[in-house]
Amino acid sequence: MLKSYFQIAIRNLLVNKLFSAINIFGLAIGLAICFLILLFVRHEQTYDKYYEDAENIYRVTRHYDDEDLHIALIAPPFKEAIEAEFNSQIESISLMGWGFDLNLSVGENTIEVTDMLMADSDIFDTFNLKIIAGAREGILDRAGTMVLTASLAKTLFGDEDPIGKYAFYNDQQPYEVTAVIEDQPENTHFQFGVLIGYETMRNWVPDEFNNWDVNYSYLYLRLKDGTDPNLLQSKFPALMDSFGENVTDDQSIQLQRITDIHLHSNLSYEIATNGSYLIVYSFSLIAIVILLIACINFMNLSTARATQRAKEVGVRKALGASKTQLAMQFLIESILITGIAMLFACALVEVSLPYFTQFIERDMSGITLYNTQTLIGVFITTILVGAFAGSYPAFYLAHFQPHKVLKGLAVQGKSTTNVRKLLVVFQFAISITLIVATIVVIKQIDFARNVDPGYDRANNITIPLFSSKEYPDRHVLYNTFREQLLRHPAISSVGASQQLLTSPLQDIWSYVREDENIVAENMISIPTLNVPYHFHPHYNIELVTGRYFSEELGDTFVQIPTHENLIGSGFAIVSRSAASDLGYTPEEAINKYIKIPFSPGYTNYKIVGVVEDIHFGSVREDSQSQIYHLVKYEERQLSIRYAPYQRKAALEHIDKVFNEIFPNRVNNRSSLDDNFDAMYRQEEKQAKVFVFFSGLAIVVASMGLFGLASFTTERRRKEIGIRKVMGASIADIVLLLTKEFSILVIIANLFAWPIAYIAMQNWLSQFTQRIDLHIGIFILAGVLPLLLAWGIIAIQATYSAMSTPVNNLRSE
Amino acid sequence: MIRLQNINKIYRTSDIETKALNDINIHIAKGEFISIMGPSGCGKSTLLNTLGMLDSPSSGEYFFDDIPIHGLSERQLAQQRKGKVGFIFQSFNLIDELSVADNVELPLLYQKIGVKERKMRVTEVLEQLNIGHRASHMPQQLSGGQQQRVAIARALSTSPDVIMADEPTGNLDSKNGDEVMTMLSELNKIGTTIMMVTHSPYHAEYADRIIQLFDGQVVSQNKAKVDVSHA
Ligand SMILES: Nc1ncnc2c1ncn2[C@@H]1O[C@H](COP(=O)(O)OP(=O)(O)O)[C@@H](O)[C@H]1O
Ligand SMILES: [Mg+2]
Repeated sequence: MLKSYFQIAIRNLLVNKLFSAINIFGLAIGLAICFLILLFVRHEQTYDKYYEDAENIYRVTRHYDDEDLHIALIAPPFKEAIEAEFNSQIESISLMGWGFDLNLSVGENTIEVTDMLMADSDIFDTFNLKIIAGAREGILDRAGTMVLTASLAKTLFGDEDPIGKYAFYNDQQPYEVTAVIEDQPENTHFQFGVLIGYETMRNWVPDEFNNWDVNYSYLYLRLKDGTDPNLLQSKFPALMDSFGENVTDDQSIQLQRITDIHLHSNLSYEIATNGSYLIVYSFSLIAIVILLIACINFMNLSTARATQRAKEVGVRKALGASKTQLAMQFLIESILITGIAMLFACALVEVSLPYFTQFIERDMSGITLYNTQTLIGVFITTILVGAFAGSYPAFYLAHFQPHKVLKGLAVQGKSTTNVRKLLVVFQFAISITLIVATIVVIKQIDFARNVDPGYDRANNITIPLFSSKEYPDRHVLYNTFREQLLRHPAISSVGASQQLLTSPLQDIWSYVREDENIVAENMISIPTLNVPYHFHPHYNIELVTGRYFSEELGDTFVQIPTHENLIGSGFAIVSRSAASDLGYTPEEAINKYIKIPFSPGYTNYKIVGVVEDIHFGSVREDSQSQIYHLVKYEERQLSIRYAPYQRKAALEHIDKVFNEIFPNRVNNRSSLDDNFDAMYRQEEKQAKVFVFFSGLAIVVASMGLFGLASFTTERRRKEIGIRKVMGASIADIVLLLTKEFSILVIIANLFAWPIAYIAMQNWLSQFTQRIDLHIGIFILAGVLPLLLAWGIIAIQATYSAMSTPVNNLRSE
Repeated sequence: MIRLQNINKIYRTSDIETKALNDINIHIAKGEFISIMGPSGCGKSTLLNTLGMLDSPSSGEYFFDDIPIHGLSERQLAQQRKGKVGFIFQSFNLIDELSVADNVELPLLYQKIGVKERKMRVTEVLEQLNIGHRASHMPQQLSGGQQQRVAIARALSTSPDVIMADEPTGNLDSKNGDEVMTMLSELNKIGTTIMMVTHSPYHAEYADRIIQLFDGQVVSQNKAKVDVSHA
């Protein structure tokens, strides 16, 4: 019996090759997407499970209710306080903090490290980091010690044993390697290649270690087995009270299980951008919807073909087959098709996994697809999906009544057609929405890249400057660079600044006007950039009034207040909006003084010029007001402008100078234009997501439409025949059917447009400068699927209209 | 008006080959009333469809008003039959989704006739067949006899030269069947050529001539007996 079912199933597959191909293809895509998303979802749930007894590890976070400020960081004194209070519940507690980019060198070998973290030695107990070489004893106890991961140790020291050896930080300070640990897996909420002893910070900021308000450390603790974290947390308010004046009443601290951080934590100052449970949920939802639609399209196509199977059903029934047996037969058929689709899906997953992981920016190399778990999963999914997708067609066919069927009178309901239509409308509405999104994102990226930032970004090369053994003083280094670079005629100007202009200003200082007292209510926060003399003319930033910084006219570098001299001094240039923030017209601002409170006194800056506002960072940033300080040692980003059409000569000279000054360093120069474009990577990625998903949505919707069209033409076979007998041409028939389906796509547009409008308006609102949502975008997005639909229907309808009309009427 | 010479029609399916028409030679004059008879499966419908230019013969020659019909493409066939041939079927073949008037209007629609004239013509034929009061009904709401009247009205709407009727009374009781036959012979009297397939010897006698088919071949083309009385 079963064998005959399979035989019939396979024969049916082969007889209707196009139909089978479309059905299998549609299901395969749905299954493959689900598979990939499932892998992603599983991966997201594995974060930080790497650590031993990870459910006992917590992070302590700090919350300022009055300011609605919730931060992942905390101040150092909390460690000792918590440790003392909860000694019996806590296994271990450790501080970790502050990462910045640095150069590490061993001999001639220098590398730039972007994943450094500072940590105290307790971290080895809190996280149970696995030490490969070196001893746990005294591992990060002292300043100037560091621990490397195995791969970084290998890069720096090769095959040598690094323990007890030194690596030089920015070519200057030596750090002793005390241990080598296992590489951390990718699925943790923090990544590091090197840990530097927390004590090192004490040399840099000795006063801050007892400061309750300076939050630049992360605090982790491991609870003893069986300790209730809620109980512990319930004692935190009392603990905070005991700190008295050190903390304000609105503040609180909270425990956060580390395994929850990746998906559920979205505080200020996270170590790295986390994932989000919302993304996991919405991806899961997308997976389910795609699979559901694939199944429904499958049902559509199968029932559309039902009339052709009707005779077989009739005969089998007449010969005594029960409904159950028939339903069984069709179910087996559908499971068989799903099985074949599953094979294709697996192949698709295998091929697309590398692209997918790149796309979601996760390293899933640890995931193996070949295990019994996957096999069982695939098997069960095949049965379930096959049974589900086959259930309706099986039920539908099995209920055909033999006498009607044998007379060819199988009636196909009208209400089911409406459900099908609704589904196709839904699928197209999604496609259209996604197409609108795609167009808007692409146009906005293009627009943003061409926005004039207010400074000259053409022909500009930037190089990060790190001081070195030969040049411990960055200011001297900068001047040497500048002088040597300008010797070449291809280089027209050299400048520098504290940071790149393509990222938002990091420093925001509080200013007080000269005629006001230094009290909180008089303070005005304005983003600030530290620059050398040549900054403004170098970037061609337009002067409104006053002048640029000038060495000749006696502008000097900032002197910060000291205990001997409580009032520091400096020179400033303010932007037009900054002047107005301070309550001055540009003309009034000139020669005024502004004060920045800075312990132990304040610094007095004289305004020498007012410039136009420029745009720092991407157009996402609301960047208007800026103040520039003339500062020494802050020439961190060298900026070199070359003469037009002199790029090649300029680059050669730049590289030559760089190699003379830093014979052993990698030259990380980049073009400012590239940095500028890089600001929109995220949007570019979004565009890719949209392109991908709209493509997918259209494929799926097209298959749905194809299914519906074949269903409808099948149902209207007789009518088509009659119309042809009455004189309708093929074109008339195609037009008739096209009209019916065009209406569906038009309805889909009516649904999609408002949704897309609201969604994209919302998306655009993150940009301070943005494109208009022009009606043309919507029309274009609506017309594309319409054309596609026409194509599909025309093919379907022509095929049906071409047959000799009497064939359609020959059921009697 | 119609001349068939050595017409053959062969149907090929994957495993079998059916010779539905075998060397048919027929002449039909304008204004004739022809009945086609024969056992089931002998090729009556095939012959009628070929005559009605719905289907083309596998070989042989077919002239309609001296125009060669054999070898015409599907599209050219449609062009030729437009306005010249009206069809009536055993199962009426009305479109369920369209009203009576819309069904009747259908052939006019495909002839690109203006709205006004179409409406006039529809009202005219519906009146002629006494179903004017049913114009806005849907086919399902009508009895079999009434549905066949609509089908006849539809066939007449373009004032065709020839009407092809495939067992028009097959699904009707004798009273309704007789009514249909009366209508057909009245149409014939005003000059319409009529070709009709029937199983009923009684209805066949309405014709001027009866063509007997057997296994795709014409076995006799007798003049109808004159002594069967009908008005
Ligand atoms: N489209 C077709 N394909 C295959 N065989 C057909 C087709 N149409 C008719 N036949 C065959 O041709 C023969 C004549 O059919 P038909 O003209 O319908 O007979 P009748 O109307 O006299 O009952 C039959 O054997 C029938 O099976
Ligand atoms: Mg027949």
